[in-house]
Amino acid sequence: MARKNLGRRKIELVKMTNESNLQVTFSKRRSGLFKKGSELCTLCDAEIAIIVFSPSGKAYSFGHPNVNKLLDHSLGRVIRHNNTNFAESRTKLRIQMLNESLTEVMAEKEKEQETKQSIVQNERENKDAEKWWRNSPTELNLAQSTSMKCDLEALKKEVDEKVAQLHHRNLNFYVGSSSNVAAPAAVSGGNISTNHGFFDQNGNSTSAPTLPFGFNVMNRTPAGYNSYQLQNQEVKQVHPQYWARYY
Amino acid sequence: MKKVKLSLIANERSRKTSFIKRKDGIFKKLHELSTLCGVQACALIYSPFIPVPESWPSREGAKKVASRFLEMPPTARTKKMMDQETYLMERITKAKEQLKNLAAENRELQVRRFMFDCVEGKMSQYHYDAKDLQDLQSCINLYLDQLNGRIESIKENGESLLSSVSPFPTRIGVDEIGDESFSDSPIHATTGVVDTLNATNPHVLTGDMTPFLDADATAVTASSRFFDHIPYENMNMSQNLHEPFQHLVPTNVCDFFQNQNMNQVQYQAPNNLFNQIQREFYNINLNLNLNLNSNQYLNQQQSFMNPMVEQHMNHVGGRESIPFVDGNCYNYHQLPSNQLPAVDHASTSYMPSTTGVYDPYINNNL
Repeated sequence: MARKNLGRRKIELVKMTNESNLQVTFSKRRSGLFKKGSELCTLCDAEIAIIVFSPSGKAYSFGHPNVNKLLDHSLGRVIRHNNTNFAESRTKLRIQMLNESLTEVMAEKEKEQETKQSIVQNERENKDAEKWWRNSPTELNLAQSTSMKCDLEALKKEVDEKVAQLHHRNLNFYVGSSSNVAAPAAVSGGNISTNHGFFDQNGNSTSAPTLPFGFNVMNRTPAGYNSYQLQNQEVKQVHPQYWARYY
Repeated sequence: MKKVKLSLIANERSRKTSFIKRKDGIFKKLHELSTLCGVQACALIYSPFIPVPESWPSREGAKKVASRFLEMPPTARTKKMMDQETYLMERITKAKEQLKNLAAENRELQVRRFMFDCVEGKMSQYHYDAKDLQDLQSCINLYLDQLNGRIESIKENGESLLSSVSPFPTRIGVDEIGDESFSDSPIHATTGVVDTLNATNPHVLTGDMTPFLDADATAVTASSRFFDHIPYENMNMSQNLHEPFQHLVPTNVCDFFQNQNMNQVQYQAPNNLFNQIQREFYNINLNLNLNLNSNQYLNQQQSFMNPMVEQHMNHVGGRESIPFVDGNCYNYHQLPSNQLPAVDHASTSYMPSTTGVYDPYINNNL
């Protein structure tokens, strides 16, 4: 049956002959298969190992907790012990957090897609033959293009004036504020660029808003200085809460 | 279709039913994949419900494919290997990138509609801020480039010069209305009265964010950028951006701040806000430094930092580059005596550093 729109369609379950289609189909179906495997592990607390060889002979594998472990158990007939040690608990907690993060990102993505759909639909409904200036530039003739160009240049001039005015006003606003975090970032950036002292550069690089700049500065420190930093790694690890203070 | 929450199913009977259905679904997908692409595949599933592991296509078939897999060299085997953790991280990264692209597209569409409404003389109906105006500038520039290209192509092709279908609407009194709308203070900006056009366009661009909110957004962005630096830094260079503060000996606190202020006076006007944040930040770190220090590290820090501080103090008045280089050479000469113990110490503490790589990410998720 001939179809106009090439949407979802049923296919025969035989080997494909077109090489590029075969490669694309393999890639998509392999991704879907691994996704289903991940869902099964999460929902039903199952341990799974999937091995797929690509048409070119490469091996793709997905496993939870690990492909090698399950294969060793299966082939070597090693008895599986059900002891849950600390590392496994940590991994489970981490996987749970990753799943939650993935769910959130997917929800936001759907929201953005709905927004886009509504915008496009709104534009399609409101498309009017009278409003020729809303069309794409490729649909305009010479007179329309020239007229549109003049009006856009006038609008551009107007917007430039508004931007300059708003910028001037914002400067007055920011100077007097004591709770704004953006201002010290700019000031610190300026300070670093004008400061020539080695010591102050390292000192300034530790303030939170300027860390991107400080990170660059740290690359230029002498090698001996870095080796001294290595000496304090243990101190950093002894107190895990050390990190939380800066975040 | 109801969306399934990605977590362990609490009800054991539901979990078992779901397991059986999904297991069959996975086996079906494996069958389709191997048939369509003519490739070998196998699966092995352990479950708390079934003592014997399920395998596809059969125990012998799975064993054969697994043997082929195990015969491969380890590098080729692990190159495409994934466990659930890496798989989920990869999916999250991909989804975030897609989300960013979608948001950018939506923003572009909204700004484009804003531009056309401004051309029609409806700028006063919108409440915009600096970022919206900047985006509008970019959109106008882009559209003007397209128009110029269109005009050039029309002139080259010699198309007929037709008059416009309808007269272009003149913008009478737009400047006055625009000025009135713009005169509102950004701090007290509020959404105006919704008229018929706004009602028919539920996604009208309303820039009701105050600069204060923009500042918060900037801070959040900076924080995100800061997080991105940590894993790279720890994994590759074994450096930490917070280390320099630990080198500061408490006895030199006043000297540090005095030098700081003097430098600021020399090069730019002092900013009280920056000083406050710097001092507070420094005090927090100072407390941590006192708690973390042991006698060993304190002595080493003193012996290491004093010459540097002296060099810096000597050159506060005049900043010649040559004396500073000499001071740097002096530091170089001093360090080799401490270098061997440092390396030995670092090697022993490498594993804790590797373990610590995950901590900021967990904090990031929380």
